[in-house]
Amino acid sequence: MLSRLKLFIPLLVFILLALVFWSLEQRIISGDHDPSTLPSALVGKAVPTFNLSRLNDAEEQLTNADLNQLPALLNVWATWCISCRVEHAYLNELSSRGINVYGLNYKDDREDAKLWLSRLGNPYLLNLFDNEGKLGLNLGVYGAPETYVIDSKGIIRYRHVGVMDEKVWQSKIVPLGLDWQ
Amino acid sequence: MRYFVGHSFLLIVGSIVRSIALSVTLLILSANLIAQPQTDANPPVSQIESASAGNASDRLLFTDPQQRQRYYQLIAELRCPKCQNQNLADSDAPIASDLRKELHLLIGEGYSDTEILQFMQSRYGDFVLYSPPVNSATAVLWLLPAGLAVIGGLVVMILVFRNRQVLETQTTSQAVVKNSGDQQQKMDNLIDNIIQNSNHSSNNRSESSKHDD
Repeated sequence: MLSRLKLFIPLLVFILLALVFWSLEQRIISGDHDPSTLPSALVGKAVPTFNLSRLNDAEEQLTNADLNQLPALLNVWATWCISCRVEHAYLNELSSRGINVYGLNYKDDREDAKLWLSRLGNPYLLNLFDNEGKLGLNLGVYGAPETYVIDSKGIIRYRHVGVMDEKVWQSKIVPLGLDWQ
Repeated sequence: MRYFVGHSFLLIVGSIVRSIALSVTLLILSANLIAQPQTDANPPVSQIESASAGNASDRLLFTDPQQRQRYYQLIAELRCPKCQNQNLADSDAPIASDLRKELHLLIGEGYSDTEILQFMQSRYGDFVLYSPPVNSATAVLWLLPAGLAVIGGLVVMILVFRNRQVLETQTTSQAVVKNSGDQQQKMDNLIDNIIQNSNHSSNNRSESSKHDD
């Protein structure tokens, strides 16, 4: 009798695996999980040193000291990035709620970017103009949009890849426990 | 008769077709080997062409062949963070192009291969290396294949050992059965002998009693 039951072990293993894969697939479909996103190597580290011009003023150079309203989001965006247009309305909303949002204009054209912002609204406290992608490289940016969460000590706590929305805010950023007001 | 004629006809046709196909293939191959592209027609231009590396759009120049070699090796070893199943050599993604340019810069500035890999790893994480580092986090990844092979080998050994034990008990019980069969035969022979002997002696007695009249 017991040896007969042993024959069912492969079937049980299969059912178990099938359940695991099915639940994983459900999470991917609902958008909770994207297996292709890379975890940031910068979590727990300070924002890399940079020296970039302000988007709106080519003469003015900005450095790490200028990111002084913390905690804040550092949003990597560009006019060639369609998803950035999708998330922009939400960034406007966050900004109106009093959340600090800095922008990193990544590998873009200055005039195009300024025009884009004047049309779609400007939620950013300031915008770093990184047309060569230097700060992007040091941050580990591999596409747009990406959003870095910087805490009050200037340390990167989380990097979100993709469109920023309320679901991400509630599930990934609020749990970090930062004092946003 | 007709069937056999048709069969041999097909065989002949088949062999002719095969030989034609083979000769055509050989012709094409030899043509490729014979017709070499002319690389040294204009030496200075070809030097620049052989010095540049990476995709045609990159136009990255290496004057030192050793540096170029290191570059080729590095772009094969590093994964594109965007197109994650391609290395930097194969990927057309903008970030791959940026990273190739950065590699060119770093090699030119004299960084070693280890330092360059560390540079990439500290920005893009372990995933950008095709060969993951060996540490406590990746221990399962590295040890699991060998571990499973060892476990599999043990299971096979145990099964073989058990089968051998079963086989031995089977052969001994077969031997026991065979032996008892032999003994049975001997006993049958003995009984037959006894019966024959008693038949003989009873025959003798009846004959002697007949004489006594």
